[in-house]
Amino acid sequence: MAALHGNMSCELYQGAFSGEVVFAVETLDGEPYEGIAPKHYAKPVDDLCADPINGSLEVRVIRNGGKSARVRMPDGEAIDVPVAIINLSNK
Amino acid sequence: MYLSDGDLQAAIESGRLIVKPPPATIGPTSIDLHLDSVDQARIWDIRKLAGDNIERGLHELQMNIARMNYGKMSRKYLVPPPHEKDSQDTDTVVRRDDCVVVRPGGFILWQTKEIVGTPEDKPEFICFIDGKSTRARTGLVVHLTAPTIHAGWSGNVTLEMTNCGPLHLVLHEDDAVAQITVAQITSPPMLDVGQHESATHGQSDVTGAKA
Repeated sequence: MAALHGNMSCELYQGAFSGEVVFAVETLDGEPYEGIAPKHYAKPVDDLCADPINGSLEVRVIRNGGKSARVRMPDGEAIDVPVAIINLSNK
Repeated sequence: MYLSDGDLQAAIESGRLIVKPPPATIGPTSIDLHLDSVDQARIWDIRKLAGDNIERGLHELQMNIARMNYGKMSRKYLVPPPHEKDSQDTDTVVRRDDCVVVRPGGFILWQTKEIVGTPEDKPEFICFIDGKSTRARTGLVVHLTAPTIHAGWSGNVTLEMTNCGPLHLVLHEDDAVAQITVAQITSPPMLDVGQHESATHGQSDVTGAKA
């Protein structure tokens, strides 16, 4: 079965380059994770700066069940996160 | 199977290959990539990193790469190159007016002007970043071990460039320093095969374990 699209709630920062954002999320085990993604995977991206803003990141949901979801992010990594921060999309 | 010029053009026109802005010309089996604005060049601020490391009791330039928190590190330590007039003799990358000079041994990250890749849904191709032979002869390396744009990803490419030659290399916006070749994949990635574990799962701060 193909992975589903989803939007993951996260904090967003301006990345080092104009075309990229840094996203920060807490994994299921409470560890902080920060990754990078092209801007078009994130929103909002208009007012990004060095301080975090609340936003969301497009992810692929590999597994979704119980209280956790395993998602693959635009940086190529896969992590387990609380399912509550994932909104499945109809993309 | 690699795509040749006609197939590259057709793939762009059909949206199966993303190249924005679209290329003015297409090579026999490749598409040139150009450097973005000089303001999009970055280097590692090793003086700041060293200061932070020493403050934590770590070796000054230690970086535990396997557990690196790249997002946090890039926010904190990737900076524009210093202007030449403000630079020190040990700086190997400096900004000079509308260009960047990479001295021998210099290492710089620079975003491409183009957004390149393939659509997330049912991607058909994988892209490979490569150098251009005439630039390579000066000693310019445009990517370090990470040439692959995986199927289903698109974005500005960050070139990891270093000067392995003896000359002072001058780089400008719009310089065509790299190219992509494009190959067809056997089927779209399923994304849920196996139990892939993130290489950075449980990542720590930039400096990681003590030396």
